[in-house]
Amino acid sequence: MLFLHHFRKQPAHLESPWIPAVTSTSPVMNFLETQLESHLQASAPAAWDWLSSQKSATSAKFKTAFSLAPRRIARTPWSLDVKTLTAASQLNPAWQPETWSLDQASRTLMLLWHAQNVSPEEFESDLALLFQTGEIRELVCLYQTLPFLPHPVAYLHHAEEGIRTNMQPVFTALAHHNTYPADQLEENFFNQLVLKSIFMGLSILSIYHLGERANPALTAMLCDFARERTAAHRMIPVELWYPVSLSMTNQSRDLLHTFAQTHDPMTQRAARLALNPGTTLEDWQSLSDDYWKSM
Amino acid sequence: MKFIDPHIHVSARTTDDYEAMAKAGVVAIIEPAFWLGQARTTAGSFLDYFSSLVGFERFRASQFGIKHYCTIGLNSKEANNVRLAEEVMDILPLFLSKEGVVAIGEIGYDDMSEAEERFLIEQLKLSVEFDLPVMIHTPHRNKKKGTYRTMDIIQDLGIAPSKVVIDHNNEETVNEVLKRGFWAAFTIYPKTKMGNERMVEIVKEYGSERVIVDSAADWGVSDPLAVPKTANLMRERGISEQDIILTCYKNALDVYGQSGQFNEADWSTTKPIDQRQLYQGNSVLRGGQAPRVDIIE
Repeated sequence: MLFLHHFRKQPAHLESPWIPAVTSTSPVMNFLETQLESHLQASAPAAWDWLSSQKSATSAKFKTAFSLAPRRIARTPWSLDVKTLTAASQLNPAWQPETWSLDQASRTLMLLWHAQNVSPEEFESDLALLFQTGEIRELVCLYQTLPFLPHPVAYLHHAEEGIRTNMQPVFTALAHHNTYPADQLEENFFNQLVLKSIFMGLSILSIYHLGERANPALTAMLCDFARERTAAHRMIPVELWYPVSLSMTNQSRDLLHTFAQTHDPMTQRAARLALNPGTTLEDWQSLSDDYWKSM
Repeated sequence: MKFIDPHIHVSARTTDDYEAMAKAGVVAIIEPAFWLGQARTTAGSFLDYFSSLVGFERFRASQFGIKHYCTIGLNSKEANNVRLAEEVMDILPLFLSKEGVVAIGEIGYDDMSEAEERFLIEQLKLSVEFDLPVMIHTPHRNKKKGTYRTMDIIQDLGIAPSKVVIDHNNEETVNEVLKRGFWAAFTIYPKTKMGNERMVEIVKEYGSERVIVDSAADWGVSDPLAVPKTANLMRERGISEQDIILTCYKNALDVYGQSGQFNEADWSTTKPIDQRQLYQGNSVLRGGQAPRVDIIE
């Protein structure tokens, strides 16, 4: 399992080899502990007392506490200053802790504590039970926490299951602003995640390292999807041309040349962007804004 | 007008039903764990069922702007498979402290067997341990005796009647249930049990205090719009708005609200379903990106 990276295909357009980011558990744990202590001590000292008493919880106590968290800790967002957010993004480049709520951040901290307290086998078995019996917000938290766990490759099957879910908030927790998919998923699963995101009507620009993980198989899937949409007289989500443009094939180039001439104005614009080597991610973001506004 | 259907097995219903319920003003529902028509033979079937009540079904309801809550429990019919029932008792605690679990239920008698009584009592004790309200299913056969005996057991255990809803009442049971201080719920069925004409008469006679209307709609002949339809009939028959609000909304909120998991703010602050709401926890939308909005009428 641990050598899985070596078998994955590298994105063809990258000059340097693609190396998954490594997020260490302890700094994230310290970050959450410091932030939660200061926020909860200020607003709800009893909530902090409860949370800190979970630090060395047994497996049984941990699982109950994980579910109970929203009864003890507010579901409200927390405000983090720019300095703190910068520190967070240095710990993990996709992480947006300011979008988490206090109870969900506390659940992540409990997971990280627990991973430290028990053997890897016991942790994996507890985590499997939490996934199996997860309430929606619990599942959201579990997927948001995946990139911070020690030995993240041990949880690939959970992530693969997350790609299959139709519960949109749960899927989004895995797919968007999360380093786990790009860092850990094999090509086919990563490609499925991208396509599923499009099928669910979601933005794919929020998928971390989408450009870095572009690949010819994904390009082929997306071009087929664009043809299906065209045949059904439905709009093609413009963002899908971004990963296509980063892993161009003869087939996709032909299709884009055709679409640049004879499609709806939004797709024509996207096709021209995709064919222009000078196009930046900002150009795609701007096109995407116009696309969503037009919907 | 806003309605709560505090007893509906929506897993067995279609999206057309959800659309109709939302259109009729149903804002929140409680789905009690129950029997699926086909007896389960493994504890894993219960585990996955309970997971779907706090997972996928909750999401499915949210797509229609309806807040979904549930009760968790071992139903009376399947309590008779003792070995399986014992395994199910072991998994109940995994779910009882989860968000949106508003009671233990629906539990009670079916045949009034020894096994049913054993697991009724064990689950009532769990309700004390987890500090949760209880939803009681009363038997369809031998109803009066079964209802009285259930209440005796609850009171012998020292559980406050104010935390217990006795469901599926009729004209023969309502007086005693209310007299003892329990909440009395009525299931409105299109053909059997309590019809909505009869429900109107009950409210006329007993008033609205601790009286609750529900549909218990499931995979059988039943009506997911029973609560709004009964409210309309009450209004036609001259029952006061206050009584309609209490029986079709507020009483359910008060009794299940004792769980701390059932709050009006959960739905009164909810905007029509769209990606902005779904994105709240994830903040996918950055830099002025406009979300897709699905307006569900």
